[in-house]
Amino acid sequence: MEFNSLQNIALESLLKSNSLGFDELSICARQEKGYQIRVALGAVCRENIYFETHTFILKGSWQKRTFIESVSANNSAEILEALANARKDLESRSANLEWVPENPPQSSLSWDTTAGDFDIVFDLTSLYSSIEKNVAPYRNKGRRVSGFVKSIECVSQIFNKNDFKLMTRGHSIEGKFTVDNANGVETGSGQFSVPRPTPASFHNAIEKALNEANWVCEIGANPKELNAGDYTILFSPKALQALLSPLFWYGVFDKRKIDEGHTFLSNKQYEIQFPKGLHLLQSNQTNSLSGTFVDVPVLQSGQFLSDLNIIQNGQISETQCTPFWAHKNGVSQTFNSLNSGTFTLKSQETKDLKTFSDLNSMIANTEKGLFVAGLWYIRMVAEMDCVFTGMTRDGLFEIKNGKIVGAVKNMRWHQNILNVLSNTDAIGNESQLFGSSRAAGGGGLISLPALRSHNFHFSSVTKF
Amino acid sequence: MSVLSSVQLVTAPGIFKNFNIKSEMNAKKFLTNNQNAMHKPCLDSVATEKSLIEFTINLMNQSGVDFGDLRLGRDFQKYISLLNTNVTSSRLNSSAGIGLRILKSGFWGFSSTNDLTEGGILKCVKRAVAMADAISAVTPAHLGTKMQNFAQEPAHNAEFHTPTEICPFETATAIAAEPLRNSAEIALAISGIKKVSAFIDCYGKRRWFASTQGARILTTHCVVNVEQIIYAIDNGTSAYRTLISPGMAGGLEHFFAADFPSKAKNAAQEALLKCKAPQPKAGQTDLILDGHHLALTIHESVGHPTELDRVLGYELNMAGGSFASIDKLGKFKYGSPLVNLTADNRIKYGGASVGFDDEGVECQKFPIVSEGILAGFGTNRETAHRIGQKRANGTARATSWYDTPIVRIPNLYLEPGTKKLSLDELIVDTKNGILMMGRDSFSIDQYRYNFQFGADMCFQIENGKVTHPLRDVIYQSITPDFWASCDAICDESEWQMHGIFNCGKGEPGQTAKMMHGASPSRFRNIQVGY
Repeated sequence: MEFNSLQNIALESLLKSNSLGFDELSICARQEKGYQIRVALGAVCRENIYFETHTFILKGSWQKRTFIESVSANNSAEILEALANARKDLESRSANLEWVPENPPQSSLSWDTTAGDFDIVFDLTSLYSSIEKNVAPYRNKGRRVSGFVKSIECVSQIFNKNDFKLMTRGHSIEGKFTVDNANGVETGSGQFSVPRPTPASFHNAIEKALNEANWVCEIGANPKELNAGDYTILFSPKALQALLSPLFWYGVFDKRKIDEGHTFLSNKQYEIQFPKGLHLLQSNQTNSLSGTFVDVPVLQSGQFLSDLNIIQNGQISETQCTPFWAHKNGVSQTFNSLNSGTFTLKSQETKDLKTFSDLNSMIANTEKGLFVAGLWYIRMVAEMDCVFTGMTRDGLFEIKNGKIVGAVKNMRWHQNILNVLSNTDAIGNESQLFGSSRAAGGGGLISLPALRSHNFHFSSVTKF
Repeated sequence: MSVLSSVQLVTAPGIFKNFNIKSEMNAKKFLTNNQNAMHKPCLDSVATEKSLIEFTINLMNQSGVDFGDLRLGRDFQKYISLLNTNVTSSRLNSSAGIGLRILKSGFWGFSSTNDLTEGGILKCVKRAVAMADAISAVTPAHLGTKMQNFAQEPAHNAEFHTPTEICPFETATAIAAEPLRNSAEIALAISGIKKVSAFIDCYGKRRWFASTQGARILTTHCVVNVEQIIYAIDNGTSAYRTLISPGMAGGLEHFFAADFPSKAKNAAQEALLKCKAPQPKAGQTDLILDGHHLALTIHESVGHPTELDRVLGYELNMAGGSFASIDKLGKFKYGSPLVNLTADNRIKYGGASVGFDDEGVECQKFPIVSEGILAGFGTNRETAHRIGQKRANGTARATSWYDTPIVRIPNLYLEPGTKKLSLDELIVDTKNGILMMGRDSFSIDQYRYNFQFGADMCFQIENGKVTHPLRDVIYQSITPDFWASCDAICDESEWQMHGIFNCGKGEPGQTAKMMHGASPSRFRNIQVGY
């Protein structure tokens, strides 16, 4: 179905829904199309998909009760049936004591984050050729190559009862490749996210990711086993992204959890100190995210966003606050209600924080420590201590006198992640973009540099 | 279509603790309109569904494919969240569509759409064929899938419906949430309990499978998972205790039968106890792990490493590989001789008991570990020949109609001990150790070798007696070392099943449901702490 038709169905349904008496109602028509090309055992494999779908997202409230429903309807009658059922269901419920009105603006906004037309599907035959051309040399050397490249285009149009309209479009590609030598010991991976892709950028990104994966694999031969203990660690941007994301998933900066007393920062918010030049922020409008699908200045309900400076000037500066908690405590609601998956780490050279132009210069400046190329399977262990666990994966190397001197077998770690930031003494100026492709309101984009921190605790060793 | 009786659900070992048959019998009164959403056709009638299937299969055949199959149907998901006694949100997702794959000249093409018109299907088939053609044009032929290696399966014409008494998609949110509101009220009445959060996560599907080999299978399936977390704040710290429904296949009846309100007070008191509990002393000790806890340990350290696609390297980029390589089959000491781990996708209430998998293969029972030795892998039709199987063992599943089928962990359980042994007797037999109940933090390396697990509630055992609670207990081990240290398994009377609801795998990611079961078991000299 053409997107115009979906827009018309959404608008028609909204107009016809007046009799149902919702206090608030928005209908979002959403269309996604794309493909994911999957490589396994050195060739494009069976999990290689193409899809084209549409959805209507219905969101409303009646007497302080709320609902969200998504349906793959083909006409307004099906949407109205879903709305009538939702309305009936709301009547059966008691009021949500934590409901706060969204107060959407009565205005229209159109926001197009693509560089060109919506229908940007690149020539698949050319992509398969590009993948084969890049993968074959490694396959012929006896390496195993696996990975994926994904392209998703998404367009959505929101209409609500207050005549607010928001249109967002996005197209991005992502990918990740792993190269190993079939014994499972030497493994490397490389990944990419390209927010405004062109066919050329797609091909280049594949080549770069495979080169990175192979570089890590090559230097990963004959890993030695180190003892568990505390080490100075140089995290790659990819490893840092894996390390810091759980702080957001687990709500470490959630003001409500902090105020209620059941997280690490409860009563300790101003105790923990960070390097003065370290700046952790949530913003959808930093330079690195400009023009991407998250670069939308409003929530889906129409409220304008502002940046959230979480770590600034050496301490926890601001925390995430939901609409209800903000309403209850008379403070401002913050960015997190849009998208907790979008954050950035910036830096400024200070006496307690050195900055470096790139990863190589950071390695050269490290006398003794470990370079962590990737992390895996990170979970919270003790919430009140902010202790998490996880494994190193796809590259762990020893650094001595400013050089990588050899590979190390993967290790398990247990560590307070906030202390990793607290113990940071060096950071890169060059950031890498990580993300998942969805239009405004879903997924997220993260932009991070490499970072060096001390006293990172490894608790046990594995065989690989 | 004939309804075959070849798929018979079987009763699992042991008893279902917390399962109240009386509640199940009364279940129908909760239905708002006495219907099962999964039984409604995803098009205007069953005849239209069948007609579209034949249209699609004909198109595939006309395209010169070596093999083709399709999954047509509707998926449902309902998610209700609560904070304290308050329903904070209710979300319902429903989508209908078709996903089809074809094998042509040794390479696969896949395409999906929710445009269920003949025009939409035509476009979808053309895309899948074009994809296979484009891949085969650039890829060396020897890397393709050989049709003669594709495991054979009778072309079943059958239906399978998971018994579902109370359809969650036809039940009012308020009715579904009522036990959680009652339970929260009981917990919050206790001093020190500051917050109770909960969710009800319901997943259902109506799915047709059809293939160019003649299979025509209709299945309906439903699984409900409910969790409620009770937070205590006391002694300058915070702790929680979690109530979890058994996560069994079926409707809301299993959640209602679990009777959360009757357990809320005890759980709240235990959360308060955790606030004052010490952390364990780091070092090696004996552990007694209950069935609920072991469900996750089995899943991560046995289920995943024995998925054959993973073993062969298909999942290296994301989920990882496996230490349990093919050459270890029939030889490798996975655990002590007491350890028998059995896969069975025919078990009643099992999340993976779907009758037929998404490659049209009938669900089966097979061993994974027999008397401590690696004895089997989960296979699909493409990989089965790699371990000499003529027939795949029915573990390939696609989460949604738009997903490709991949090997998924089956219902997998630790066989109960054959000698009479209760949990109480096992505790008495343990001089010093820790009793760990329920599940919490978990993490494992990409080859499923080094792992750590935590538990929801832990107690110190001293001189054969439970003495006091502990908090933040985790243990670390290496998979075969851990299972080799198992020296006692309680008997059938202690056996419990627990559902796993969000097993992630694949690129793009898919989530699957399955059941694991175990009796409390003892593991010697395991490293605790970090």
